Amino acid sequence: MPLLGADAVTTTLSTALDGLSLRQDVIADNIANVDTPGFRATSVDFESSLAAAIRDGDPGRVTLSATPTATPVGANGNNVDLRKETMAAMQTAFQYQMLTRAVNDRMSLVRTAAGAS
Amino acid sequence: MGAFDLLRIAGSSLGMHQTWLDALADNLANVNTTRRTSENAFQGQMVIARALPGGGVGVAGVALSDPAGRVVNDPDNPLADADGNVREPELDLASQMSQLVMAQRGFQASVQVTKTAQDTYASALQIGKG
Repeated sequence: MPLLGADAVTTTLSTALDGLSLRQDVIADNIANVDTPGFRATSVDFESSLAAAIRDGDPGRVTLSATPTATPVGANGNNVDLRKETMAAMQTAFQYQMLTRAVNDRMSLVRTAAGAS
Repeated sequence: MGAFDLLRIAGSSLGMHQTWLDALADNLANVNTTRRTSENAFQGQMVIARALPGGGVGVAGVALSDPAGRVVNDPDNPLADADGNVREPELDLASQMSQLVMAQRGFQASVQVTKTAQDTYASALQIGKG
């Protein structure tokens, strides 16, 4: 979701927030289906495509998607690793908080530049 | 995906696990329920979980255990037939108990997800506040 009049930094932060948000949804889905027979865990990797998009000069052009994981399945055809998912959930939450702080810092920078007190 | 998908997904999981726990409680309560051999045995409920298309989990249906159950010789039982047999449910106590632990752990994991969701949403609400 591009922000109105956003510069490259804000767009990058915004895309990263979208990526983390999708990752949290996917982790929640994996944890919800921890006992569902035949369920395949999915994961989100937006970092590499975001890095490529920044190199190309347009950090807003990132397609976010969840991909199924190929780790071995258990007895009921399910490959959710609860330990991995809870750790990822925690890490993603912290990253999200860190990014919201970065967005706020960026905004106060713009505010200062605009001459607001 | 919507704005509060995290909570919707975690909520769907809490609901499915609650249904599973309810079914297990009923099964365990009736693990010693005997019937006359002329009747069906108590049928245990087996909740079938299914992943939902937009994320989350739901109850696809509830399967019932074999109505034939197990015919057990218990001549002292007031329900025993002429041969002294009664019908017991086809339920494995060990399996039901381990499923109880699984359902409980699954429920707890999703409760943890709702806590993470709260942190994330609270953090998102701080954007632009300075």
